[in-house]
Amino acid sequence: MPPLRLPPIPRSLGSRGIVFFSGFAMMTVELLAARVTAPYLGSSLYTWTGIIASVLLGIALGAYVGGKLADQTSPRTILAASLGLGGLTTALGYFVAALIGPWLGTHVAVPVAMPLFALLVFFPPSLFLSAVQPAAIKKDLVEMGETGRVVGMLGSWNAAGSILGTYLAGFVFNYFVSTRLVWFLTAALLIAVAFWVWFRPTKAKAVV
Amino acid sequence: MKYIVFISSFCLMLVQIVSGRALAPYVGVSVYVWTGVIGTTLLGIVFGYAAGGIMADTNGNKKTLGISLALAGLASLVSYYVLIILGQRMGAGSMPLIARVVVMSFCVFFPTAFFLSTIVPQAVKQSLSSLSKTGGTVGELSAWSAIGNLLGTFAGGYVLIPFIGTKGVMIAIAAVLMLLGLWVARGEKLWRNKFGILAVAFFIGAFILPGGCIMETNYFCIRIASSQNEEGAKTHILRLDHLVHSYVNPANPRDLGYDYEQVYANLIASRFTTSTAFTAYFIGGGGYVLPRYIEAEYPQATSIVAEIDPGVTEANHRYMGLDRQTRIITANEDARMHLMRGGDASYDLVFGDAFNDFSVPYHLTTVEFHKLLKSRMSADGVYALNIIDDARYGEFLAAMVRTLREVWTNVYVAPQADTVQPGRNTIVLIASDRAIDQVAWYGTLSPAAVEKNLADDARQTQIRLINPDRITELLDRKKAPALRDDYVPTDRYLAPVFSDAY
Repeated sequence: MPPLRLPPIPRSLGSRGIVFFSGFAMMTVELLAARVTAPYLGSSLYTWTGIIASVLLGIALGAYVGGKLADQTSPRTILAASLGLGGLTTALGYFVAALIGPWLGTHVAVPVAMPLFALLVFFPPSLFLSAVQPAAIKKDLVEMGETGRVVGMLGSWNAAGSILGTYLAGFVFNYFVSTRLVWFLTAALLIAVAFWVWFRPTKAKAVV
Repeated sequence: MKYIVFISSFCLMLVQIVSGRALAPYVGVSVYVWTGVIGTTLLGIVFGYAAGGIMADTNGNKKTLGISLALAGLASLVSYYVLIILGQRMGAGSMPLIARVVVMSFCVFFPTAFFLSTIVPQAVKQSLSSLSKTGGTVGELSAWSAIGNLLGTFAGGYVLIPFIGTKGVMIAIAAVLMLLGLWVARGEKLWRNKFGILAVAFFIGAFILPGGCIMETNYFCIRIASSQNEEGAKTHILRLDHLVHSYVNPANPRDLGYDYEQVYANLIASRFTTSTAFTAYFIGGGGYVLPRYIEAEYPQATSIVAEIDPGVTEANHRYMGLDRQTRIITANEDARMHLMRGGDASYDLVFGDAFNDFSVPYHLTTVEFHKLLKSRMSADGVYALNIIDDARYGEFLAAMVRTLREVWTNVYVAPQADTVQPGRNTIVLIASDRAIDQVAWYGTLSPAAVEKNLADDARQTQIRLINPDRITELLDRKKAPALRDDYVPTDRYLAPVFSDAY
């Protein structure tokens, strides 16, 4: 076995924090989604799978397109744009739900209504939020030899953020505050982080 | 490479879905179980990603990838053994339930999630040819991973569990992953390894292991224990997951099993003394105990059951003697949805029995739901439901009473004792605009009470409506507000009851 000599990977706390937060926001939205849905479409196998499916579909498309775009434009633009649009669509989704929910609930069969509802309400935020991770990897990965660790580390932080989101949303937010408040706070926070990413002074990358 | 990512992500999600179901017979289904399983899976991802990245940069080759896949397969196979052993050891143990959930989900699912998550960083490493393609490569592999997750979720929930069961799914996952691992590292001839024999032994063993459920539906692991009672009639005990849901005696519908059903029987008998052409609506079917009773005793009445799980209805027909020609009408739908669409309905009696175990369907507890329900009831219709709470805590009880009071004038509490008792208890709540006639309430003998044949004191205690002063006193102590769609912390209210009871 060759001696283990791993060059240290660049310490970019910013990127880790961003993927952590995007994981957190995504899981918060996914967990609260059930509560946003239930008043209009009940709670059944159809609603759960509808939520999970729309979120995962958003991830698939968002990661794919986000990655491609990050190769062509500046990853920082993609990061800020996807966080900001993620926050915006989260907030808008709540109004869309209140607008279409009552009609769908009384006029369309749940197996048909749920995919429509989920596509309009939960798909857009997950689409934008999942472009964050590939863009962050693009930004951080500067040397081929580190591929595994950069991908692994950022993926790991993203999952850690998801855990925190799951537990806070499931055990704390639902318990103590209203769904609406958490929903809009998450959206506002996403937009705030987007502004921070965009206006943050760039450090000179010369010292490599 | 993208197919490998796809398959490993497919399996990861499948494992997560199956996990929740596999734990259900031992610890029930609740927010705790799902959170435990999701948390464990994500923790596996945290460590798996980090470890996978390091593995990729140091030993990034097909052999490592193949071994990772094969180990994930082996882990999912071993986990099934661990589940059965732990389940039997801890099922009756003294450990608090929440601790049990954490330990079980960790021991059973962490290893599989860990090994499966090492795949993505390795795959990226081996696919990335130049730094100008980072975003595209990572994005594309993530997309395949998400599609795998998506299909895994659907396949698990809709197809695989109902058809081949949790055990079948676990074995299939193991087989697919191990074969894939061997194929990926085919240059290394991994099967010559001595672990191969071990794996084969586990496989053969897994087929012999017991399954447990007679039906696995999308919602429950259904189990039925049948026995002869003293009179030689066949009775059935219906278990949904962890919970003994109903006692059913098909030959004698007057034999209601649980005490709270006696309160319901008394409600019907004392309300409908002359005309018995009422319409009853049931939120949750279970063993259909009360609908069968109404069908037998009140031939002019109509019963409509909203039971979300078609499997439960089928189990009643197939195993618990419910005639397929029954006059009971079943809608296999979420009750709130069913009510929302049923604009012309006018139910005289509504019974709520959907609060299985400690999983309370929160959308059936709110002011908004009860307003909807009331709009589908006749002017002096009565809503009766059973909830679980403990006198030492009582937050959920207080919240429900406040909620019902916002919608109906009168709310009664029937704990099947003189007061709400400490300990985990089933409590019946009755809500209506018309006050209950106390003389008729205690003076009526329902057919079920005749069958039960208790001394009059005991019978009256069983159907006791507690003193309104006591309710006021409870509400003074417990400040839990009425439940609304936007804020339903039922899990928090029930958490202490939940952790005490097991």
